[in-house]
Amino acid sequence: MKPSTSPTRSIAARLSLMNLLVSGVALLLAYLSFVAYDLVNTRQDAISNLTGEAQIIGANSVTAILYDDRAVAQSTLSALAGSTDVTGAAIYTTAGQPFAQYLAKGASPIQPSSVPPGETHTGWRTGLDVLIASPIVFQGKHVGVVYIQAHLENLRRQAARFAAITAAILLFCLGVALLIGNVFRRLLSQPIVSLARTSRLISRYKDYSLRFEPTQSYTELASLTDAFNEM
Amino acid sequence: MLAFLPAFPAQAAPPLSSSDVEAAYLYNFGKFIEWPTPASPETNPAPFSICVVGKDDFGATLDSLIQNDTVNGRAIVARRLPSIAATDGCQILFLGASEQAHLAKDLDTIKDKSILTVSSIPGFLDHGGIIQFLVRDSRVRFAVNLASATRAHLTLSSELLKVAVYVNSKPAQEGQ
Repeated sequence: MKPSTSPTRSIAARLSLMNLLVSGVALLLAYLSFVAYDLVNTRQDAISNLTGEAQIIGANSVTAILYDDRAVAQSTLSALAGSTDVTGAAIYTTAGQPFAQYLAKGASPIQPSSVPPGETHTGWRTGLDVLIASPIVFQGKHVGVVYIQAHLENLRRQAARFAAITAAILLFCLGVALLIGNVFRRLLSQPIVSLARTSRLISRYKDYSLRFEPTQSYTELASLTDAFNEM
Repeated sequence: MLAFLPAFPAQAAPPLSSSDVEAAYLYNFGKFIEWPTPASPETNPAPFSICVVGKDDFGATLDSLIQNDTVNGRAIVARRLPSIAATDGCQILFLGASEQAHLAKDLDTIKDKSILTVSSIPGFLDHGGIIQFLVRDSRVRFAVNLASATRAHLTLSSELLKVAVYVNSKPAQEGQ
């Protein structure tokens, strides 16, 4: 192993490392922002879907509440059984009395909180559990409140899938970036390597007629080579 | 306990009599029924009129309920009529129990008008009435005769029909 090759190797190695660090950090930051954005977005979508469902349930329960028909309200609520994330739903009267309730198997009962006046819907969140409250307003009068309780299991699954797919894409991007970086690294370090090799030959054989291979690649390297050749 | 009676908190209120419940049901019907639009729509519509013929047990309940409410944006008035002949401008007509004896005659008098007839009198639907209050499982419910509603050019919303105990679509028997 020629001892004088190690400095050039180290330049090349440092360029590679730099390349890896820059691309890696940039992609990691991009990855984290994508995943965070997706999580916030999906959660908002899930909550707005639940709010929409609560409003539909509310609109379809007006007569049931006004005409005190719990069976009808009950059957309207049980339509939510088809909604995968929903673990329970309830209709309360304006007096705060439970009117109708639907609970999925094994779900914990709904703990309603009061809806701040003037708000069309409110969501409480603890982890993946959300509780949506949507007041039922009919012809300007407040007739009750719909609560929908959901466990956003789908959200977790969707976020995990998104994270995996994004990670795969970004790893692929990192690979491509490193390959391109390698090409540039070689272009940059090649003239330096040949400069070093020629000066080694000159010093070994004391042959001052040897000339450096001219390079056009970079202004700085070209002027360095020219300066050596003129010596 | 009824959601639409904010003046009577469920915990503190005395139990509602069935006529209190009927009063609330009665004026809420207006929100789920479409009356035919007049040929020349008024720019300033008259108040929504709930008329009562015969003796009723609503007392002051009906009047206090309608005070702060509207039907499709129209103020509501309750009118006690001296006779069935005075039903001009009524959207809803409640026939008190005392009308049982001349029910057929009453309904015949208003048969060409678009009035929602409501009563608790048994057999009201068979006489051509549109909505009849009845008691099921000690709750006030109601039944609908859709054929009579159609004849009066009234459109009842499906939301209302789904809470009816039953919906009769056979025309009322004539001459009963």
